[in-house]
Amino acid sequence: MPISIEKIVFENLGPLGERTLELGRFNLIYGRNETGKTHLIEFLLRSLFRHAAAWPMRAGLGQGKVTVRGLAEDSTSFTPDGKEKLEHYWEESGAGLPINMARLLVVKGAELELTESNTVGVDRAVLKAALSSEALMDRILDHIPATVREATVVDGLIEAHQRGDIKTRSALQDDRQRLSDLSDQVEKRYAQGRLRALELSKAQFQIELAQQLEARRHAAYQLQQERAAIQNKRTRLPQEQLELLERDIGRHQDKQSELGRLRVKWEEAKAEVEHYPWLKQAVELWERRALEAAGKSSSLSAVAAGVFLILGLGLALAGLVLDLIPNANLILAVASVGSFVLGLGLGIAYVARTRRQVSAAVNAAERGQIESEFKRRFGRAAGGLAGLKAREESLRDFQAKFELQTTTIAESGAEVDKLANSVERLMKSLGADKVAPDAWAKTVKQMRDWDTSQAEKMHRIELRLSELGVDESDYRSEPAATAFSAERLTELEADNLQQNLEIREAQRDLENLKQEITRETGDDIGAPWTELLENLRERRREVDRDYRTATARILGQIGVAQVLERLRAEEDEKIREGLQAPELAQIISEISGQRRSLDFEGGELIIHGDTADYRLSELSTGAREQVLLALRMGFATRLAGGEPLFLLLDDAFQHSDWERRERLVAQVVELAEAGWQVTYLTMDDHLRDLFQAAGEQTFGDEFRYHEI
Amino acid sequence: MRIAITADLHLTTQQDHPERFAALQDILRQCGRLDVNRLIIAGDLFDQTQQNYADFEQAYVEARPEGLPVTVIPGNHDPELTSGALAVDGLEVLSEPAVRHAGEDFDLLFVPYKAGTSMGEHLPPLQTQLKPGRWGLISHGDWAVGLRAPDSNEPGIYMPLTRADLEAHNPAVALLGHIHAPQDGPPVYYPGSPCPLDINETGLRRFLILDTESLTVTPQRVDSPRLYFNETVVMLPVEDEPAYLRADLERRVQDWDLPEGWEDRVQQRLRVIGYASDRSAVETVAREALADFAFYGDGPDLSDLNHAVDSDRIHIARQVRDWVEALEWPAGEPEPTLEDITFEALRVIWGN
Repeated sequence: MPISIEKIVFENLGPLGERTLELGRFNLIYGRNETGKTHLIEFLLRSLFRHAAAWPMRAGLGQGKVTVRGLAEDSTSFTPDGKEKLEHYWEESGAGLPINMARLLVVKGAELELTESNTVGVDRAVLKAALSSEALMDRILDHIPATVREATVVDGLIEAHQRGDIKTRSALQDDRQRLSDLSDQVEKRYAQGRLRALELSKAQFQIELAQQLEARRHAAYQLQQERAAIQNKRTRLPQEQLELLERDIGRHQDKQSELGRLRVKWEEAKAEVEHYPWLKQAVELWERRALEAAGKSSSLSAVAAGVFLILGLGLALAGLVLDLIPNANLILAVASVGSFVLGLGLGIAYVARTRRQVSAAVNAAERGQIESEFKRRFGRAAGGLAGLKAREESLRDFQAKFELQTTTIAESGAEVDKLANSVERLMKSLGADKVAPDAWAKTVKQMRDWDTSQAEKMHRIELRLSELGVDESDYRSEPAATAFSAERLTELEADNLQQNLEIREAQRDLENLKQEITRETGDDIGAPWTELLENLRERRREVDRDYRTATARILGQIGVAQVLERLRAEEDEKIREGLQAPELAQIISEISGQRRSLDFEGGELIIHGDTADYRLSELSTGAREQVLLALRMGFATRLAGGEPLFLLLDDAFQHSDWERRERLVAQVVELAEAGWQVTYLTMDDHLRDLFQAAGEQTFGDEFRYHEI
Repeated sequence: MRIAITADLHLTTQQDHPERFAALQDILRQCGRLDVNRLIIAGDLFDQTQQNYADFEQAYVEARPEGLPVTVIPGNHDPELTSGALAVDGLEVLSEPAVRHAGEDFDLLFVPYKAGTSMGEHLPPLQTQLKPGRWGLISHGDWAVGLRAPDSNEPGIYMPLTRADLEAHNPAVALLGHIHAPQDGPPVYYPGSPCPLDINETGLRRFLILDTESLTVTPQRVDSPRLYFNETVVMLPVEDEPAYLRADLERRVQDWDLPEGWEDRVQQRLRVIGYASDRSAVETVAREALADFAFYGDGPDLSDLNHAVDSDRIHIARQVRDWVEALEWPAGEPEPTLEDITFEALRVIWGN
């Protein structure tokens, strides 16, 4: 059953006010400009079609209803605000976009005309624009970058060429990753606690270190004091005196030894010279007896001999003096020689005579006694006066030596005593009073040993002081809080060094981290940590937000592109199916009077005729318009299940020339004759006249004319 | 031992914010019912703007169970708080880091807020008194600079605590104040503000109970006289928009997990964005679906709800919605939600 509009009832519809328009098969609604024609067409669209809501609407759309017959057994009413529209009565395939009956059944001004750009042919785009919503899809797709349109989503990842928005998003991903890594680094490395722990530990160590350093200074002071005490004690044992003592003791010992040796020799000499006095008396006695026997002649002889000898010598000296006097020399030389010879002879004579007289004068008893005594004393025979005298001369030398030895011993003894006194005095001065001489060496050795030990002790102290390495000006007399331990100090210094290293490393690490953050945030390196962390967080939030927005936009665009691609394919298929549908062929046949079918080839619409095939572009303009109208009708009929429908023409021929207007009017008359309801709304008097003439002539009572 | 922890009460005066005092009293009373051995307030007991200690003392005395010790540390809003300021029994304000025993084998290290410092640097001095893994940190500041969402009431970074600090000192738990949104990221927990300060603090409120033997932390709901919820719905021009919106809002209200009879304490802010064919219907449904709750402001915010009447676009939008719902996209921050993606798709479809 044909589907047609039975009645239009409205009120408050702009300038139209309240009206009821009943429609036949062929209808003309005429109204001059500004009389409300547009209000009426919008009222119809709003009431009948789902898609009409997207059409521009004007204010003042009133209330009312449009009654349609052919949809059900009874007529059906539609209102602008009603949810039910015509499309609800036709089952949709679900493929592609929903049925847009408004596009098919409502033809607005110039929609049927072929524009400048498509006069050469009705290509796929033109056809789709007329029959489907592909133009809308294209407009939407125009807002989606090509890179995103080509992108796909696989396993939660966007796969696309790295260009445009995709590249921007990838850069944001990189930024996110970098900032995330940096935040992780902050989490791992921004541990003020670690630095604080190190500093605390260092502070504790430094307290102990300071105590140890103080203890070292005090230890140095103590050593210094110890050394001074030793030094002080050693001043009581002056080295010079000790050396003098050692020297004097040595000398005393030497002298004592020498004295001992002298005494041994003296004793020996004393034994030798013990018989010298007796021997000397014995010799004198012996000689006295002999002299007494020789008398005074002998003495005179001796005197004479002496005088002449002296005279000779004197003359000789006089000769030497008078050598300068001529002729004196000879006289004196003769006199001196003569005197000397005479003296010598007298001497010799005296000696010989004396010897003879002594020997004769001693008596045998005395000699015997002297000789026996001699033998007793010396253990051998005296051998007369000569023997006695020889012995006496020998002993006289011994005696002289003995006397010398005696003197020497006395001197040595005095020297030994002197040295002993010196030693005792020195001993006393060094604190060793009344030391027996035999203990001197031991005592002085003890002194020396003590001094040496003290010197060694001082040396050791100096070594320790040197090891401590404390400047004397830093010695500390006050006791330290802890005992000094070189090992502990070494440990502490090593620990302190290590801690300083760790603190520096921790500080450097934080500084590096700070630099990494400032590179991202653009902050000054001197900014406080809290500010840096906040700005880092803000930066991360900003990037996250951008990433989220970019990702949502890209995914949304991908989704839209993929949906549109699918819809486009479905629309294409629907058009293709539509072109081949028998309903379309029938319409075309009805309109053109020929049996034809349509198809696309190479992007162009091909019309298959009974005898030949034509490209639409090869047809005349009138034929092309016929085909386009037929397509519109055909698609609508097909959607409506093969039933004819109604066609609303909103001054669709207004821009056509007069010749073409007649042709178009003829076409819609043919359409109406084929069962379609045609309603033409116009403000054009010529078109009104054309439609009115055709309607009255062709449709009689089925023609309705309404003037608004 | 059972230790209750709350924070960020931001008490001012009974006159200005009685709900905050009521939340505190509820926690105190629950401590008595739940055999809690000690209550800890981890900073910002008082607000910076106005502090009325007398009001606090009265509320405290009224609600505190007999013998319950209460330990308070200053936060960034009440850094000058000292014990001397509060004349009530059983309350100790720790203005300096201190260790307190909590059971035989567990200690609590209290680190009050100190401006310009990090939480970590206060840990080493008292570390020697603590047994690794057998102590809890109580403090007030920011945890995990990169992980948490910003708190609109607490902009900036305060006394941060990092993972490195935790690893270095190894507390069993860190129970912190400062962030008003409840957060659980073991071993770090924020009880959150027990009474919301404004619409940005949404959802049911809680305090925490730490069992020092089992080392478990369990949330306990606070009977807060005021609750806020903040919802943003992305509207689609679906076949039956009112039904769609109604179902969405009902699901959201269900997710609030609101105890029965608590409707009158809720203030909710609803923002509907996206596209709909009938804005007035959307508003009507929004008001009807949330009729049990007071609106924060005049009503639903529809300023970003666009009028959608083009059936082709609507059809495309529905198809795209199906596509988005079938999309396998990773969830969680900072990835966009399906609603974000849908909203962006709608913008593309409608060309804005």
